[in-house]
Amino acid sequence: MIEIRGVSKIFQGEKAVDGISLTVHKGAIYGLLGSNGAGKTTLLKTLAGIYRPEEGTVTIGGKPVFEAPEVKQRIIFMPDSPYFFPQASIRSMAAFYRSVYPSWSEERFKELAAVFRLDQGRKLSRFSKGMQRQAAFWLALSCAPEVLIMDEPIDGLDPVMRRQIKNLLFQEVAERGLTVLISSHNLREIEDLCDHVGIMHGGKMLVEKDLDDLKADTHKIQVAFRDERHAGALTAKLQILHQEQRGSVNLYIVKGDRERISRAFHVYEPYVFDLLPLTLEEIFIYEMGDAGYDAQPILL
Amino acid sequence: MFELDVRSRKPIYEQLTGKIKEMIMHGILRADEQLPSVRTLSSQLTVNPNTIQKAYRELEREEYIYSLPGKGSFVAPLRQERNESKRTELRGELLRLMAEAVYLGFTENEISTLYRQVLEQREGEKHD
Repeated sequence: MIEIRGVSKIFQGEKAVDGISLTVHKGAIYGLLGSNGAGKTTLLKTLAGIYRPEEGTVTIGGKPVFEAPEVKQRIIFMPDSPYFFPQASIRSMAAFYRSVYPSWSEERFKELAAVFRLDQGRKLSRFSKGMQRQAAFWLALSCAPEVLIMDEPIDGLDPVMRRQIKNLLFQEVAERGLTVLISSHNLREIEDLCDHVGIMHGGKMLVEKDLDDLKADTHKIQVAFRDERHAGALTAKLQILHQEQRGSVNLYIVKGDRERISRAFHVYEPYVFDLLPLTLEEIFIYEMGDAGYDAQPILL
Repeated sequence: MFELDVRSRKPIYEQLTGKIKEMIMHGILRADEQLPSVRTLSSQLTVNPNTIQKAYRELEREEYIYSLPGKGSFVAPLRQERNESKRTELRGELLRLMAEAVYLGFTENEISTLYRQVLEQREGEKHD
């Protein structure tokens, strides 16, 4: 559905996005993660056809997006802070979206009124941040888009609304095959929401994978060996991303098949052996560490 | 139908396949019983429909369930060879646990009491 091929975007000689390629299939929920200033928002804006890429191509449903209203009619881009016209209310914004999006569904708009209990006549500027976010979702979902691109959308929503919105998105995905691309720093939310993730740093894509495969592929292992020499013998056999010693317990982050790793360790019959799947947050931190971006132990 | 542990480190799709297998093995889901649709389960559990689809595909590949186009997914009748591989796996697991139990001083009697307890529970479940 979404195809990005070798896209670069340069601002005043600086490459904000540097040769990124990615594919999002129809009906997928793709999570874009990255360090601050990694170029996520630039990539999303290029994808939405707001920026023209210096290099590469961006297509949605096989057609380029930039300056193509007939493609843009099928996508919604939700920026990191919702934008409404000055003095606008939900009712007047709905009238605007209705005039721009041919797929606008009045029926859907009315149904969603039961979910988002907001006053349609009140000025949007008088709403709180979370309520404005809800209004943005309400309008976006009423447009029945094929592609929904969201920059930091979960910000400012309470837990009940988050669950409600997640359910709405899942329904759209299951029933209509909506394609969702979402950027966020809230890794717990992404973990529950997405099926594919991409991790960006310094304008480049570090990893891009099916979330379950990513989690099934990297493991955290806590082990206490019977003999210290065993540790040395093992490191040669496995692909170890990170290791640490805490007293008599060794901590490893290992890439590879769970069964194979477990067998490799069991040869030495360790006193303690724990193999845990990594959380997305841990994957993020170790991948970033690999790219030379890690938390420094500094005390100020 | 069941709850998932969102705090767990286990991937959601593994939790899903695990739970459904468990329910089939305990006879809570019976042969040829229909499983909830991807859509229903997605909104019940607030889980990505693609993840549920994937779990169902995996269960189908392992022959725990079968699907009829346009009708949905159903529990497959128990098959012998599937049992065999599961049994070998379980035998290893039991041996490991048994070694630990013996080390902690469990007697033969205590272990057979546990065995009987499980049998009784199973009977109880069937009558419900």
